[in-house]
Amino acid sequence: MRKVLLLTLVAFSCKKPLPPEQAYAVGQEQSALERQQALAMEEGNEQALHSLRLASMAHAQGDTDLAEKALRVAVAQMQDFTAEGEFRAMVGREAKKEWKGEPYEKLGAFLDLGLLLHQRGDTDNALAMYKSAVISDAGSTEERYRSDFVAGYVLQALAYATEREQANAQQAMGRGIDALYARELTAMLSDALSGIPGEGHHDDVQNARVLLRTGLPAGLTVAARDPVEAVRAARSQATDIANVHRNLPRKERLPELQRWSDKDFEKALQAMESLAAGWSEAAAEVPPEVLDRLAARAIDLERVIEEPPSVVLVVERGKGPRKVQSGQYGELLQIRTSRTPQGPLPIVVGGAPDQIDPLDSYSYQATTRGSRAVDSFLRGKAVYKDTSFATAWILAEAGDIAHMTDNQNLALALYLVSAGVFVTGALTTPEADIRQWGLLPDQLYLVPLWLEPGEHEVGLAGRSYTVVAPPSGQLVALVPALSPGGPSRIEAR
Amino acid sequence: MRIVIVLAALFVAGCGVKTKKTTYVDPDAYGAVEGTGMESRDIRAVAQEMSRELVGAPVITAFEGAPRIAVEPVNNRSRFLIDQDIFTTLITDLLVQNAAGKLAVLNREITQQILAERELKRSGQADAAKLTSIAGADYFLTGEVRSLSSSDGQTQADYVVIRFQLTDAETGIVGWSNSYEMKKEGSWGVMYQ
Repeated sequence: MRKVLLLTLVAFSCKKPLPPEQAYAVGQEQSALERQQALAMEEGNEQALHSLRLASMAHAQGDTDLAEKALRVAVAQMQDFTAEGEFRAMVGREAKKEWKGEPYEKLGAFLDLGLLLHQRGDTDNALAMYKSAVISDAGSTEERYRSDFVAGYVLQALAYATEREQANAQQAMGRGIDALYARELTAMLSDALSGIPGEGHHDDVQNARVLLRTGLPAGLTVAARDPVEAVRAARSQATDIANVHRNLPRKERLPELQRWSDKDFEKALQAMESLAAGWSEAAAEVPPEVLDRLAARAIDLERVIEEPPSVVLVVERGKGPRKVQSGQYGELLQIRTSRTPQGPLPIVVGGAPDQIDPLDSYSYQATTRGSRAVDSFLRGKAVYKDTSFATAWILAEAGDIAHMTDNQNLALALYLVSAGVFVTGALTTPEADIRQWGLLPDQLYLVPLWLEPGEHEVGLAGRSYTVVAPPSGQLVALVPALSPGGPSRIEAR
Repeated sequence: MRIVIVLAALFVAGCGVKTKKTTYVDPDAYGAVEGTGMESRDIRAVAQEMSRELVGAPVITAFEGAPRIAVEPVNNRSRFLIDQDIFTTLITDLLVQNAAGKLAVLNREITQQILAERELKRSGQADAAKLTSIAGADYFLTGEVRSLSSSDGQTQADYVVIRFQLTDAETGIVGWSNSYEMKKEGSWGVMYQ
């Protein structure tokens, strides 16, 4: 009898409907869309998240008006840090706080809304959204660096070109191309630094590498297309970072420098000298084919504003990043990405096949900060892969946070000192917030088409579309990855 | 002691329960949703100041008769979503209110309807008290919004400049130009719909 009851309970629990995002993925598209629409209308901590999911589903189904409305709601909420939510944000589980999204989710929202506005001919506001996407990428941590969101810069360039602001278009495209270089060279130069032995105590040499890597984003901002010059500028920046941060209170420093003593800074600066020469040599040995490939890509992108195509499609492909909890208490947010890179996008235009390389990637944006690979995030702070000893310290701090909630003596002592601190400590749980916009794609491709006015059949990764090239001006449109792939007829809204 | 701790926890949890209600607010007051971009009171303040200055500008006061001004949509070069129609509407209304006959604002939104009505009158299908020519613009009033933004993840700073220019419709000469600026620091910018 007990077994029968248990099986009945299991059967009923199995009949619970899937969450709309999952239901959509298994083919229940229309019902999932309707349920998601109902969720998005409810005010609450997750309205922005539900609105983004609705936007993805609506756009995939061809309802671009509904997608735009949902994105406007989401974007308004994701950027609002009102006092109303402030106190609540200090306590309670991360997953109960108002959802604002990670930087890659913010820039996805801005980009999608910008593209829908662009398709409608509202170039001014589309440009504003592309700018916001770039800013949301650049300003996501306490570190200051230029954004490497290539798609944001390229689309800004297209919008400026439509407005006949050629100088601004060239500047924006230039920054996009710099970002392409910075991405590739950051990883290469960072790896090269690991291979340089250096002179001095092991920890001091490690610290010197930390300083140089911290200066690398600024170095590439100065000279993205010249590795030797970038390394020279990085070294200069690293020295400045050391001199500034050694005089700051520990809490105001970059996370990897917070535990450094004055002696650590001094010895790291000395050890930097031994690394600098070797790093410059390594920079000079960047394979010419890498620089040639990047230069060829730059020429293709520059052509898009020098000889504007009549149609520009931004095509999504693949499944985007997934958030998971890790660490002893689930306190670390890790981003899991697809193991299989998408590779070039196969297209067919007028019967002729071709291939387009990826322009950008949400998976890349989710797992990097200033082009540096991130291992995980702790309360929004990046734990970089190339600072493993700093990682150990940050994990120890996470342990301290959790330990505090179990230590009644410590909790009571804190209460005697400050009731507010105690309440916060007693109610804070360290689990990372993994609520996510799981319908984002992996890769973004820029497909410029120089088409005569009228209808054209275009194949994109196996899907067929009728693209209506305008008699004048330029059509810009987003082609979603999510099934069934958006409107089958792509034209100005 | 433990009772106090529990009561404190309940108090905090209670603070998390809020009921939202729609209320009317003064457009010039600080809103519940605030960011570092342009709020309704900022747009109204800029439009008020601009219209007062323009009406008193030498290019207007020295004009023989009342110059005719066509108000163009404001260009957005900032990072904020701006409804250009609201901005243009506000500027037009305030100019008409503050002008007191010193200038005339052309309504270019219903040009097609005006041309159709003129055709009806001239063809005799509609009667007309008087027939006259359509008013041409003496000046174009153009505007542009630009912003310079910086953010470090926790704080956001936005410097916004709104520039207006009055350009002679015959010669292209700028007869009047002024910029209005504001800088705000605080929470990330709110998107304005």
